[in-house]
Amino acid sequence: MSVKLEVLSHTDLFIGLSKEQALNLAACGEEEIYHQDEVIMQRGERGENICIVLTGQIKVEPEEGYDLVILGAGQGFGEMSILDAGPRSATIRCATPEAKLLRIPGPALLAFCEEHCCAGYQIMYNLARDLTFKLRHRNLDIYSANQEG
Amino acid sequence: MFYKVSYVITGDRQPGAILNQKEAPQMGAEIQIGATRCQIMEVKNLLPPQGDFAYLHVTCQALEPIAEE
Repeated sequence: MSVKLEVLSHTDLFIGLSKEQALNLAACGEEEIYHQDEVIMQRGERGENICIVLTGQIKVEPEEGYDLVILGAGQGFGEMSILDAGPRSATIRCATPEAKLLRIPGPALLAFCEEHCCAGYQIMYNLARDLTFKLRHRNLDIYSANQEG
Repeated sequence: MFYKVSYVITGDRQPGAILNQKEAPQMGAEIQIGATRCQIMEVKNLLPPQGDFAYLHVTCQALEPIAEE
């Protein structure tokens, strides 16, 4: 496990954590590499982990052929299923020739939050802020499309 | 400072993007969003900065048509 601290420093999930906490949390995960259009998560399947984009970009596909948004380095995805235990709401594919991800098991993330309460609060706050940013982005996207008629 | 940027692409229906980057987006600059090369048309503050992060909204246009999948 060798996720560079430089990458973690601009990753939303790790904002406000000490270097040690960030590295310990990152150590719970595994790095994975995907290639263009390869499926990373499948809509409808059970979600058991959260992923962070380390390099490259991924696309969120709520239905086949419809790309909702592209997420780049530092962005997390898959958090909804960790928080509400529901199925994956979208298929996630690699949107660039290659993308490197950090995949953290949900139970490990939640256990880390319980064991380190202050850091756990910060992580949950970071997740909430990231979700609101995604909602704002979605609203801006809809507004832009409607303005164009 | 890091910049968390919401990119919306005007024109044809194409997905926007959320990207974290070290450098602030600049009007007229080009950026790759998935398979689409885009030019930045407008940059706005979206949220107040927090810690080392600034939150921006960028409107851009595609520089090339997207091939149908």
